[in-house]
Amino acid sequence: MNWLTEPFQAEFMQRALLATIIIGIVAPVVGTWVVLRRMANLGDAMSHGTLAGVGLAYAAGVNVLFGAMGAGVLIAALLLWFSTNRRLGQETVIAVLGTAFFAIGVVVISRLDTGVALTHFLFGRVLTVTWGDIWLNLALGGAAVLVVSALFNELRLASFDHVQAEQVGVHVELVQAILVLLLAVVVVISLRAVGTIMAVTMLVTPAASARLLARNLRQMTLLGVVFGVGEGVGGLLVSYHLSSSPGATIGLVAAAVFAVTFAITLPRRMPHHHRPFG
Amino acid sequence: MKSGLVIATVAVSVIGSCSDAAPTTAGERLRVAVSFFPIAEVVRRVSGDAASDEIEITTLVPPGEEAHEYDPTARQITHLEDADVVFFLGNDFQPNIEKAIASLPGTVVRSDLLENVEMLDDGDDADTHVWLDPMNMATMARTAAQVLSDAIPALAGTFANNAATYIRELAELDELFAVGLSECDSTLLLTTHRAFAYLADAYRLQYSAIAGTSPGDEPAAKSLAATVELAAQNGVTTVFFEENLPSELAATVADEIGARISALATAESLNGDQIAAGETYLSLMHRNLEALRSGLSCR
Repeated sequence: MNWLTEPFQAEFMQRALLATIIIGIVAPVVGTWVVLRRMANLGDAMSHGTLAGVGLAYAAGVNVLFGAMGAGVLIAALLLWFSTNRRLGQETVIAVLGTAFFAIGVVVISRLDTGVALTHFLFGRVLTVTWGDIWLNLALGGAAVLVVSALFNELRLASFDHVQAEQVGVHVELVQAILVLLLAVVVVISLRAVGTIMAVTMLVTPAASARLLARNLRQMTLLGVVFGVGEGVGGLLVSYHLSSSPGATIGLVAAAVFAVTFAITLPRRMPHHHRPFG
Repeated sequence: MKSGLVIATVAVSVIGSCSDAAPTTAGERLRVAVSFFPIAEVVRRVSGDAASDEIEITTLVPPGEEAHEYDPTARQITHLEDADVVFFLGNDFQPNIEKAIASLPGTVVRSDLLENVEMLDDGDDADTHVWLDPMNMATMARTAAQVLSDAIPALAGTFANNAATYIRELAELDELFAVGLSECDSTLLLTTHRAFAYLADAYRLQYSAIAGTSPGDEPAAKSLAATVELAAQNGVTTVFFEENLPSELAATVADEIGARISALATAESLNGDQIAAGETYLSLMHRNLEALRSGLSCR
């Protein structure tokens, strides 16, 4: 058991573990809806786009998590606004916004009056997460999980049955907006620990594995959390023993779990079987 | 605000260098390009007053920019091609700049100031911050004086005098460091990145870095844990980080062992504020000495 406990002797590893567990829980809870509603490309755009806020916050000497959150909210608002234009598909608007904000981030960071490099933010630094970061992540993540559980039925209706949703008075667009904000929260939580690029992995991959196995939405959410936490902690452990980058190792473990899940569920997805749901 | 200032400074220097392209004085001024701050300081000190009349010096890495990964712009490469002399540090310290210099026409005199500098045998991820040993700066000043004298023989005496004055100041600094760091409670210098090997070697300090040489390097968890243990065993009370770079790694180690953190200048680039404050290599090194004496509890 030494290989399991030895890495977590030092306090910085305990903080890294906590940060990873928080992501492992929150990302799949939101990610379930991202996967079901086929919004993964929005997650990708959001994760890159928050770099604008990160760069500006860093330049202003403010906690970068606040900057990332601000950029996330702004992207969400602009997305809603631009999406009212029917000539442009949403995926087009998403690509425009994501790359534009990413470009702002790159320009700001490259012009910063310090030697800070882009890689600091793209790949995260889970070993230097502070207690302040953890409390902030806990608050944001807790709020995100609460919102999802409170709106579970609304989310389900808005995602699968627009007609009935309208009939029972669910604002489909409002639900969509809330989901986009939750997505921003996940990116912010992932920023310090796994970086903006791997944030998408935690958002999508555990939920995608769960989607292959689960029979209903609650199962998918719970399984997603089990995968998310397992992959996060497992990846952190592996990265300690292999001396590899924590964020990328977590991403690889998540991808491996997905591959295995995909393989073992192959027979089940043969044509004569019914799809579990959705 | 800060970045606005930098953009403004860069813009001004670009405009300045454009108008400089047409020589205004009677004779052609010697066009000298230098790669980054410490080299610029050496060349400026050696050329002295001649700098404004006879020599035009352009620095490639703009204020505040990270020096190692700097990629010269198209305009700078054009400017380099028109230069008479280029001073730089070789040995892969600035790969992009070295590549640009290697592609210059044969008419440009190329001077690698690492020539005559004794390099530490430091393994694969070798530290290249040779200038943090003041006596290496002195060696570079001697080489620069030689190269400039070859270019403008009439000023050889001036260059030799200027170099001698600068070398004297560097020797005084060296003496201050040697005395100031001779009796310290802690002899282990621990910094975020591997940038102070030459300084530590010059003043007989044990040296260890949390991460590798590149400012983007991050240690693996295991090696971070090993660093924490080493710091604890050696009774480290101050973990140093590089000025202008994030302090998180240093703070993480300091946190584990109840130490504090303190900034050291790598003197590879000045930011806008430091330029406005008139900082030089010597002034940065004096502050480094103060930080080291306090952090290592020297008497």
